[in-house]
Amino acid sequence: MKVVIVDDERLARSELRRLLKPHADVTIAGEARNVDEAESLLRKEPIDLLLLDIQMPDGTGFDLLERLDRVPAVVMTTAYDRHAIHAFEINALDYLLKPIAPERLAQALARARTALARESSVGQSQSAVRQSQSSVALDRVFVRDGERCWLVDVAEIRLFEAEGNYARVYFGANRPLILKSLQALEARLDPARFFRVSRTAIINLHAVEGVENDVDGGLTVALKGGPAVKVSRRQSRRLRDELSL
Amino acid sequence: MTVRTPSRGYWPCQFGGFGLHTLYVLALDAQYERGLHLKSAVSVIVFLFIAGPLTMHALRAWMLTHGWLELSIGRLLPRAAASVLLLSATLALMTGVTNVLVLRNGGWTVWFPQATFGIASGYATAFSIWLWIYFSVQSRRQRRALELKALKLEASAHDARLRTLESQLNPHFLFNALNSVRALVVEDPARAQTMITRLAELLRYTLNANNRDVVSLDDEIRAVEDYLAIERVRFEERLTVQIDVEPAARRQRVPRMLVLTLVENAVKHGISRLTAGGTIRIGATVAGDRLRVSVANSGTLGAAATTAGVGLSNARERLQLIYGDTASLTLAPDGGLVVASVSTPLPEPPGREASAGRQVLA
Repeated sequence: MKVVIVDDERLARSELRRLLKPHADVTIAGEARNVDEAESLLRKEPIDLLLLDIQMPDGTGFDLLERLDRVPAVVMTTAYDRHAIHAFEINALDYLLKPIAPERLAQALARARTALARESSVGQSQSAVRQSQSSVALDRVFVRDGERCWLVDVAEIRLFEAEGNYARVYFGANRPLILKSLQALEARLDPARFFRVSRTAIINLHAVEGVENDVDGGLTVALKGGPAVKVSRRQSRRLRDELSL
Repeated sequence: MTVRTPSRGYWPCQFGGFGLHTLYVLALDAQYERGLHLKSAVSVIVFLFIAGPLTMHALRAWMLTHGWLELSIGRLLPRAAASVLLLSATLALMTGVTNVLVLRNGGWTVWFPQATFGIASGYATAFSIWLWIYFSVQSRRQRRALELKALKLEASAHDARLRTLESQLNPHFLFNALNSVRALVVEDPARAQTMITRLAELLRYTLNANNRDVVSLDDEIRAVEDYLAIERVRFEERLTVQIDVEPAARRQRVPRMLVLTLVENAVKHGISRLTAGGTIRIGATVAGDRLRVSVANSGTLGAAATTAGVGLSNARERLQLIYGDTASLTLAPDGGLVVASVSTPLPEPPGREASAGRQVLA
């Protein structure tokens, strides 16, 4: 498991290194002292787990997650931050409190291993994207909407809808905005699962509940949990093939 | 001092009191003259029931504009006695003259000197009682206001302690410090020991249940040094500290935790936001009859101003309660630094403050 440590305090980083030593499967791929360093480090090579401090000189750990195209498994580390801890708890983000108890770290690592194993079994089809586009497929998105934040599995997202420079992300009962264009998202999404139905929407094919023919020859797709999305005429033909209608 | 609008009970009390006195005098006159004469009654009503309250109201205005309420009893009594005598004599003379010349209520010999003297002593008695009541009410009010101010001070100090634990010497600082010390235990055990001691000293200083509102700047600076030593472990080369406090300033008194609050702000909103770190410079001087303490940190004011506002307005509130309008706290940019400056009046003339300081702190 490749791990990156992000913390602005040298002693906090060396303490984490020491705590990680007994875990034989963990390799420390790098350390970063701030958001900028972490971002360039993470752009260089894919990693499995990010141990991420919240307060840093040039921004917060959340700012970093928002900037990343591909978000690895994340465990937030903090000394004490009532607001952040509240956010983690309602959004099921894993976190460790400093000073970090070795048992809690072991738990967090075990959880990350389970998540990674599940992803690699589910994500076989993603290898196609990895090879064809020589970049890493998007499997998790960090989304922040005011006080709330989510680390969403892409598979749970049923629709991306363009809204200016933003994309509205539909999952569960939530539909927050992220600062990413549909073009950028499309390039990173697994084509076996996600389909661009028009200039303004990408749908999750696994979330399709029903398809109706429109009078103009196009299609309207109903998604589980809503909404119904109009498919352009050109893309309707391709979608029929894709769904073998 | 400006003349305040009297409180609601003031005029009823004025006219009630003089009214009773007027009734008493009318009754005496009626008995003496065997029946009530209109002219006498008019004279009593005009010169006692109407002129009495008005005269005292004028006296009140005079006393307020001349700050009699702040006088010690020794300086107040002769002034009060003189004004009572003067006003009584004047009013008695006016009463006599008006009765003879205007009301034609008897000749000069009926009124002077004996009757007028009687009237003057009646006035003097009434005015003395008036003043006695007035000053008792006022001193009671002042006492209550003082008590209220003391209570407010106590509550605010209490609050400051709580807020200090909650937001300034905040849990974030505490747990980060513990995390750093945990790493130091392996890297540099001797330094870890020193840090634990410093952390203990600092905790004792902030948790101290002793309700002293002010401490010597020396004590405060020592707590600040503990605090910064711990932060230096966290920030390492990112934090440089310069402390330059005049010996004369060290003996002065400051509200407990005031400088510490400013330094914590400087770290939280200054140093911790700078990737390359910066400097905190603490200075204190005695200039004339004022103590000036400044805490400067690298950085810009900008976005930090709103969040720093809580700690600062807190400190300002305490300064206001302790020193009134004579102390000030400002936050301003100054060439790449953000400088918080506190200025407080010195309580004693410079020659005596050392011993006085010790007395109060003992």
